[in-house]
This record gives sequence, C-alpha cells and structure tokens, in this order.
Amino acid sequence: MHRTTKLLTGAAVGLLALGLTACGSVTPEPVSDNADVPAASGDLAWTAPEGLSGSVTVYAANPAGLNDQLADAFTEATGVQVEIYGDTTGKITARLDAEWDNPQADIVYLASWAPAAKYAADGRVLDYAPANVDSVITDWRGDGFTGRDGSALTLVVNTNAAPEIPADWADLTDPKYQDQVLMPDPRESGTSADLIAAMVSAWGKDATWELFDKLFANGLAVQGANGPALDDVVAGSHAVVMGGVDYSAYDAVQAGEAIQVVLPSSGTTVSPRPVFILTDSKNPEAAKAFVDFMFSAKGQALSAANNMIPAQPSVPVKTGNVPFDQVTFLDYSLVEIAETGPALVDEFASRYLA
Amino acid sequence: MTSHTTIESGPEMISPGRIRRAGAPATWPLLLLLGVGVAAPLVAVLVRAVTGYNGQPSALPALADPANIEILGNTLLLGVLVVAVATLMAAPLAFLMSWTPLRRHRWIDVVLMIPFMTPPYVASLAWLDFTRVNGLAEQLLGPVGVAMRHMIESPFGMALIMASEVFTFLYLILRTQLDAIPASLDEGAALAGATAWQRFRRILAPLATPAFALGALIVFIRAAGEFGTPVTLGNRIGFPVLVSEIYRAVTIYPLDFPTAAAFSSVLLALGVTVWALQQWVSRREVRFGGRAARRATVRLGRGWAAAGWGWLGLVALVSVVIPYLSILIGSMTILRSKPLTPDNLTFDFFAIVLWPGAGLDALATSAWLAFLAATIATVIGIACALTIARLRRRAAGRAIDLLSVASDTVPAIVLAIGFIFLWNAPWLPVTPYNTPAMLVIGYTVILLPMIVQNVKTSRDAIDDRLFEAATVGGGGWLQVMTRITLPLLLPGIISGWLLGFLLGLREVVISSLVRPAALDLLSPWIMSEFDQGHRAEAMAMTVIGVIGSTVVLIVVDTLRRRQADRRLA
Repeated sequence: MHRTTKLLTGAAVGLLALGLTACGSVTPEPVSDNADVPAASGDLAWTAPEGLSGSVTVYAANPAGLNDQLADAFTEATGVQVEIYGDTTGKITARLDAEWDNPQADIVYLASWAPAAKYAADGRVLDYAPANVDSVITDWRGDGFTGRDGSALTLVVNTNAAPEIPADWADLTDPKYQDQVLMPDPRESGTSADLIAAMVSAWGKDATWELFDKLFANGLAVQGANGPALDDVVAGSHAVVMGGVDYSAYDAVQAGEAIQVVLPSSGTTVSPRPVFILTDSKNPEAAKAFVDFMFSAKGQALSAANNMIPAQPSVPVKTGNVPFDQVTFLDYSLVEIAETGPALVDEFASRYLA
Repeated sequence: MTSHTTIESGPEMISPGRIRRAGAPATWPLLLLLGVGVAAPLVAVLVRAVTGYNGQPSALPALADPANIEILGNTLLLGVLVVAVATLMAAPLAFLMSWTPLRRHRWIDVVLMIPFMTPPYVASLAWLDFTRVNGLAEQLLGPVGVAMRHMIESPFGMALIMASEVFTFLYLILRTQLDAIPASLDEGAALAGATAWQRFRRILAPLATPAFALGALIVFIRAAGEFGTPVTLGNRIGFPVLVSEIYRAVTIYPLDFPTAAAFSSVLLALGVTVWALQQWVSRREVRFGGRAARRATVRLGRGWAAAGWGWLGLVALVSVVIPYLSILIGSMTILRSKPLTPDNLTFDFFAIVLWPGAGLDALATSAWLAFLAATIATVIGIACALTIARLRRRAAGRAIDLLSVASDTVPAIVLAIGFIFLWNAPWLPVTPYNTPAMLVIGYTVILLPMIVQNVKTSRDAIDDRLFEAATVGGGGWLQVMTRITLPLLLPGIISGWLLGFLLGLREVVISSLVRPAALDLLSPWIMSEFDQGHRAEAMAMTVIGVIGSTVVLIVVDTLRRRQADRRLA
C-alpha cells in the first residue's frame, strides 16, 4: 500500500507539473438550441398536433448534438418522449437489419442515401411524404424517404501545410501536392463512394480513371472514414482531404483550426441525409409529427446551425458556409449512383488499392 | 482414470489412489445456462451462413475463394505473432514478479494493468498519431520516428499494439501459477545438483506449461476476434483479417450477414482447433503435492537485476508510456493544426467531459453494468471451473469447457447480432432486449472466458488430495467449499473478477449495438466523440476511465493483500 501511495503521489506531482506548463483554455461550445428561425421561411411554420402521447424511438446517425437538439425541441412542443439511438450509419444499419423480425425503431435518420433507397424498395419504409415536402430540394424527395439536410464533398485544406489553396480536383495532380493529399477510403466511406460514382457519371470512366491515375502517381493516400481523414489533415500529416464532408470541416474552422473549405470548381456532390418512418412503427402519428417537425423552419434551422445544408432552400445556411444554390454540381443523379456505386468501388479498389 | 466412466453420487468409496467423489451438481444447470447464453446466439447467427438472410443467399461457397484463403492466412499469422509478442512481454515479467525480490515492488502490477484498461482502438489511434507523418515521433526522434512508423504500419506493428492489450492477462495467469509452485520443488532440484537451465527445463517449464497454454489460448482467440486494431490500422496497411472482413460485411453498405456468418464459422472452427490443442498440451495433470508451500525465491545477480529492470522498462515504454503520452497530449490540445506550445494545451477538456449530461453519466452507467456482469460471470466462472475439474475427460466437462471460451472465438459484433436475433424474437413473452439487463447478459457472456481461465488456473494448482483429505476428515460440502476450495481459488477469482470488470468497463461492440436507445455508455461515447471530430474530449474521457479503473484496481488489490496477510497471521 505504501508503494501505491508513493506512486499516486508521484502521479499527482507529475500532473501538477503538467498543469503549470499548460496554460491555455477552452470554453465549451455554446448549445445552439435557440437557432434563429429566419423570417423568410415563415410558410414552413409547424404547430404541434394535439393528442400525441407516448414515445418514439429514433435511430439517428451522428452528429449527436443535432439529434439531441431536434429531440428536445420536439418533446418540448408535443410532450412526446424521443429516445435516440445515435451511432454511425454502419452500426445503425447493422442493428436495423438484425432487428427486422421485430423492429424497434420508429424513425431512422441516416447519413447515407443508398441504404434508405434499399429499405424503401424492400417495403420496410412507410409511404409518407412529410408536410412542406413540396419545397424540399427536388432530388432529395425519395419514395417514402426524404433528405432533410446534407453535406457537400469538398477539398478540406490545412492552410499551414498546403503549398497553396487548390481550386479543383485536377489541381491536386500538380507535383506541389505530392504525398499531400488524402481521400477517405470508398470501401469505408459512403460519401467517397458517391463521389467516384458521380465523377464516372459526369465524365465517363476513362476520364475519371485518368484523373485518379495521375492522383495516385502523385502519391494520393486512401485511408479510413471521413472523421479520421479530417483529423489527419487538421494535424498536418497531409495537406488536403479530397472529398471531405463540409460540415465537420466547418466545425473545425469555427473552432479556430487552420482549415479552409474549398468547393471544387468543376463540380462536386452533395450527400443528402435521408429520414424515414418504418412500416412497423408502433406510434406512427407521433413519428409523422416528428418528421414533419424535421422539415419545419425550426427543425431546418437546427440543421443549418450544425453546419448542414438545409433541405428547405428558404432556410439559410450558417454564416460563412456555402449554400446549396452556389454549389457547382457534377452531372449525376442519386438514383443512378446508388446503383452504380458498389461495382465502381470494387473496380476502383482493384485498380488502385490492391 | 479410465475406469471411472460414470458419475456417481451416494456413499463415498475409496478406490486405489483416488476417491470417487460425488457428481457435479451444477453440470446440468451450467450446460443450460451456457447453452442459452452462449450457444444459442452463436447458432442464431451462424445458421445464416447456410440459410442466407434478408434476400441474400448462403455465403459458404465463397469461402473457398483464393482471396479468402489469404485472409485466413493473415488471421493465423496475426494470431501467432500476437501470442509470440505477448509471451515475450509477459513471461519474463511473471517470473521476475513471482520468484525474485522484484515482487516487493507492488506498483509494477498497477503499471502493468494500465494497458489492459486501455481500449484497443484508442491504443491504435494513439500509436498512429504518435508515428504519423510530422507526428511527435518524427519531431522528437527524426529518422528513428520514421522507422517507428514503418514498424507500426506492418503486421508486426499490429501484433505489438494488440499484444500490449492482452499480455497483462497472460502475465497474471503465469504469475498466479508461478506463485503456487512450492519452493521445495525447485530447491530440491538445486540440492540434487541441477543447473539453472536444468531446473528451468525440468521443473519450471513443465509446471508452468498448462497455465501458459490456457493463457495462450485466450490470447490467440482474442487476437483473432478483436476488431480495434485490424479496423483502424489493418485496413490502412491493406492487411485484411477475418474480423475486419466481418466488420465490413456487417457495417458497410450493402450489408451482407451471410458472409459475416460464414467468416465467423471459420473463426469458430479456428477457436475450437486451438482449444483442442490446448486440451492436448495440458492433458497431463500437474500436481504440486499437498504440503504447505513456501514461495520460491531466486536471487538475481546485479547484471540480471539490471536486465530485469530494463525489460520491464521496455515493456512499459511500449504498452504504457508511448500510448499515454499520445493520449494525454491529445486530451489537452486545443487546436490540432497549431504547434504544441503551452498556450495550446489545457486541462479544460477534462472538466468539459465531466460536466453533467456529458460523459460522466456514461462512465457511471458503464461502471455499474460492468460491476454486475463481472460479479455474475465470476459466480458462473467458479461453477464452470469446479465442474470442469471434476468432470475431466468427460463429455459434459469438455462441453462446459468449450462453451465457456466459445464466446471469445467469434468477434463481439457477431455475438451482438446473435443476441439481437435471439432476444428480439417476436415470439418471446418477455425479453431483456432493449433494457440494461441485455447489456449485463452480453457482458457476462463475453467476460466469462477470461474469468473461467483465471479460476481454472487456480483450481488446477490445487492438489485433489486436499479435497480428499477434507472429505475423509468429515468435512461437509459447504465446509469444504468455504474452508478449502474458495480460499485456495481466491487469487484466481480476484484477478478474474478484476480483469472482467476492467474489460466490461471499456467494452465497445456489445455496448454499441445492444444498448437501449438513449443509454450512454463509456466506449460508445468515446468513439462517438472521436467520430465527430472531438478528439480531445474522446482522449480526456479515456484518461478519466483509466484513472477510475486504476482506483478500483488499487482498492481490490489492497483488500486482497489484507485478506492474504490475515490468512498467514
């Protein structure tokens, strides 16, 4: 015991010494619960329906902060409890698939379009169009599932590490960027897979593979999912994320990191994050109300406050972020890339990652 | 042995050299418990390999694909590497801490437990961050740092990181065994003129082999089923193993449960093979004689003592110092894109994660659930170990033995899906699913192998003649249990419970997949923070979890020593 005490004392002294050298400070991010509801979107008003009760279970992909804010605001307005199971899209779909004999979720909110399309085709999704769906971005209206916010794929640049700020994908083939570029692995990241499929759709396979031939010849690294790729570039191990999701990069910018978000000039993709109600929902009225709320001015403003692109174009993005109508798009359709994606990822992997 | 083919209860009979004891009353309840807890969820998933699921066909034909053979080869290679590295780390330290004066330094045990408290995915992230391009290693050590990156980004590096997690287990199991070997055996050999090498080869090695085989079994199957390092580091360097392919099949669109089930069957078969090998290696019973035993002590010369400290330092450097340097810096860095100056470091993240509603609730919930599960698993584990010892070489004993380690042979994500299939079935009138009880069941099942192996090691070191003497002396079942069995098993019980608790506290996969909605748990919370780019918060919470674990460790260890002292007094 005596020695343990010594050890603890030693550790305490060590921590104290560290404390004397560490003199920075950081304040917790303010909870943007009271996101401003823009006046221009008054026609997206939502009033809580009477007579709702019980609870709804929502399986929702991260970010957790946004999900909690949506749940709190809805509970406050309706009295309906919202139980959130928050995780990555991969874990959520794994749990959903394992639960099909006895589904537990009422509402599902994913970061990836393709699984939602598959569930709808399999008849798992309640055929429900949320209130105010008519003003939602046209491509984001699926068959029972609707994109309620989205994120653009961008060039995320560490301004300390990059030789200069690139403007387009092809700039990254320049020797200046040798060994400086990182792309999330399309086998792990749905958005990265979407980007490759959209490029093939827009430019054809030959031109797309030609670009990647040059990028790989210039030392393009492909690894991990979106989060680790951004982390790597923020830390300065590489200078640019090729096809990084914009919202987490904006988070880093707003935290004060030396990061710049660039929308590629030749066009990119915006990945909508779909929401849908399961056919087996045990509280469908409350579930519909929650989905309606998600497309209201208030619900959409919460997405904007979390750096997402709102599905309702009348709700503005957060100050400093690029709005939907200023994104240059590659020529693709969501339906098409959901179908062609898996085979193209296989081809990409065998060409470059074998 | 072979003459006793039936288990009989009733009057005790004395047969030559052996007493025919009462049957093992827990056999059938245990088989039922393990059948429902372990076998049923496994069957629920593995059957999908044959039947297909959710519109997908059987995946068994794809197993013979050459690419899959390579994956199997990688899995075997990684498992063997992890066992080799973990043995190199654990065996010398177990000897030093059991048989030499180094054992007075009890703090060493605390240090050696820290790697086990560290979630493997965090350890991988820490190493990757330490050795990344322009990372700390490169800034501090220049070309040596670059060389370290090449070393870490290889199958050997994966084995090193994975062995850092599990060598503690091997260390404890070997140390417990060495503690139990009476000094008289070694001293007798020395008096008879045996050299040190002869004593090692003829006394120490054979006596330690069964315990080592048990430990190596768990290390190997845990290495084959652990996902953290293969998914973070293995995918990066293009070294696919079965578990990373299973992870891909289960979590990446389009999901493919039949393929995951087929790969899991391969892992299960691999686990059973290694288990059978362990049974064969340990087929000869090792008895130490029933006399009161004094501990063996070997005095070290100055050179050997220095070498011992050096080895300890090296193991601590690899498994504690470097990962925690990276974790601590990560938990204190305000802006990752800025240089590491004092201005850019803070302790505020510790306060932020401990704010009510943040990570603290998750930590408290995980601690409670892990405490419950470790305790339940220990009770079951004791029953398993005693029944296995009593039914040696009988089918029921073997079945319990295999089932008690089976949950370690498949990745936890497969087990989690099995739990969902089984406990979420619509025909069940009541179910623990979607309640915290489901997590307690899940943790209990995955903690069981480690706990059983610890208790078994202690049980195997007890000479059966002690029980026989107690029974002949007129001791009843309860008396023998409380006065002989449990006190002698105590070292194994305590280290088993402790390892189980620490493992449950940081468990990630079961915690992610079968937790009730809106219930926060430690590891999912950490992973989710990291996933959302909150690296500092994730690392700060890791540090807090490890400090909490260390407190529990010290409390338990103090209680154990008090109890041991009282017994000696």
